[in-house]
Amino acid sequence: MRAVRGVVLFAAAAIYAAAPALAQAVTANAVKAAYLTKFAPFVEWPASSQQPDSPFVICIIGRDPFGDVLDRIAAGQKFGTHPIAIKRIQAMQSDCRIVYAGSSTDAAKMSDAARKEPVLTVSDADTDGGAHGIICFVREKDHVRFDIDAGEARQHGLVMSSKLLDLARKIVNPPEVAP
Amino acid sequence: MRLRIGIAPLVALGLSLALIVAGFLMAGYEESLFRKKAIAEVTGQAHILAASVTAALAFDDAKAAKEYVSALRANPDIDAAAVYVASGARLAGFTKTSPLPRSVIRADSHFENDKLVVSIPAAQGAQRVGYVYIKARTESLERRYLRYAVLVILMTMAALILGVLALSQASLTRAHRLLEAHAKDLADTNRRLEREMQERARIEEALRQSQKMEALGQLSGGIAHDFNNLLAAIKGNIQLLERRLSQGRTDVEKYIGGLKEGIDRATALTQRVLAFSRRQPLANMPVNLSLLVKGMHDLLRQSVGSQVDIRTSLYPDAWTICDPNQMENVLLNLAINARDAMPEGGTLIVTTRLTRFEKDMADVPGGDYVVLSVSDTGTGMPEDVREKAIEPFFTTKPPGQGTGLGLSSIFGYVKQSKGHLKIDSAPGEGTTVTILLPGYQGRDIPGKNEQ
Repeated sequence: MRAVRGVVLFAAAAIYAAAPALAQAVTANAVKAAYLTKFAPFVEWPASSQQPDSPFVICIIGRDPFGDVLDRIAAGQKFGTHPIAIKRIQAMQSDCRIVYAGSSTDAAKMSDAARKEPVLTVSDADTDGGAHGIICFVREKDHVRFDIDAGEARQHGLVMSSKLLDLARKIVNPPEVAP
Repeated sequence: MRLRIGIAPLVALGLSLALIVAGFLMAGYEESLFRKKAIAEVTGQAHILAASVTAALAFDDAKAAKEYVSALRANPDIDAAAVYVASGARLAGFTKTSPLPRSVIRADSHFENDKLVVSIPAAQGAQRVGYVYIKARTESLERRYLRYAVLVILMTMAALILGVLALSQASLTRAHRLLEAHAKDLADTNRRLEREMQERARIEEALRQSQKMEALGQLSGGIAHDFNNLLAAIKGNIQLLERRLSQGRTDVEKYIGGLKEGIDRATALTQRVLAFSRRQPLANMPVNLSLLVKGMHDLLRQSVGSQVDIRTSLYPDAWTICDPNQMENVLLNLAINARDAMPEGGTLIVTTRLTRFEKDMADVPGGDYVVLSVSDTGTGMPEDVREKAIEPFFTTKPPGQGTGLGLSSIFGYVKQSKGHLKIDSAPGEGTTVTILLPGYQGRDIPGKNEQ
């Protein structure tokens, strides 16, 4: 009994110690999911990039850290007249408007496939250690923030809203200032 | 007329009321304009904040949001500002007075006393990302209402002035009508007066004639005596002529001459009496009063009788404008009055002279005058009698001898000739009647009253 009690105590202690980290990860994922659904209005999309009457598709390529949180957040949301749809994919698909890659391998795949396409690529330095997309989630203390690679955005034919740039932790290849 | 007076104040009252109502309407309109403008201003501020804060709202960036919102803190008119995420939770904000609302989930604008509260949605494109809330100070209610009160008071004053003007206009119209009525009355009175004056002139004319006849009556005693004398002289001459003729003598020229003279004198006397008694209209002409007095000498002589001595002192050129017949009547009447004042006999003095008043006197305007004065050495008059002497029907003579109209009609005639009459008298000191007539300058015109 004593041994059992000790195991239980240990387990409790372990859970108690692990809980904040776990909770933080869960919260951060929820925030990232929410951010993914909110980027769209702050990007100038090329006029040809969206078919009328079709959903605005957000793709998760490869590993999915969000689970149903993202689906719940996106449910009922619209970008303009387009309902927001979530797709989980293993390879790039042409209807993706925003692509999130959670690992560096997925990010490489995403970058290769989406080059020059009007697709907002989002990577996650929190989980893959290096930035590969236009937007890259980062952790700063307890907050989820993001860096923006304006040069990469130009490559994809996208213009990032200055309001969004304002919120970025860091801007890589900032937009040229007109003389 | 009555209608016009009745409508003017009503119109003024209506206009005044309309002005006051217009004042209130304008105040109301001003207030609504003020509110619209204030809401537009604050909503504009809110829109600027909303446009810049959308990303911060979308990504729950309280720090960035705080920076945007705090930029408004420098504006002294903004009491509080805050941004709320789409769920209604406050992301950032500040307040200088009352606490911020915990949550904002709808657009709104309303006044809280002097404060204007505006909340508007913040959207990125079509995407609603939250709300912006601003509470701003406005001009205080008291000051606004004071401004409107001044407006209404000004309008009311304008209305009052209008009313007063209308009322004074009405009273002016009334006064004008009154004046018109007075003028009409005056014209009527004037017409009546003119008629009365014509009537009076007619009566005076008749009176003058009757005076003349009375004077003639007075004369007739003396004339009869004179005439008898003449007749006696003629008779005597005829007797002497008869005697000479019966004696066969022819040196009778003397008696015939005496006869002729007597007849001539009788004829002259008769003619003068006839001329005097003849009814003649007033005929003004240049008259030398001294010649007129000279021509009257015999008649005066006859009328005053032998007990009265007549003396004259005459200025040669005593020219004036008057009716000579009437003037003779005046002189005769004065002479008879003088004779009656001297029952025991005395002296009648008739003088003419010129005088000049440089300035206007109390009752005589300045200018050149001819003065005719008739004085006697009779009983004179006491003050009270003298004062009444020119009143019509006043006489001191026994009944049947005087009409009491002599001096009165003389006075009337003198006034008619633009002259003046004065009586100086005291008991026992005789009486002097002085008549002033305007001097006549055109002496080169030959007088018509030579005889």
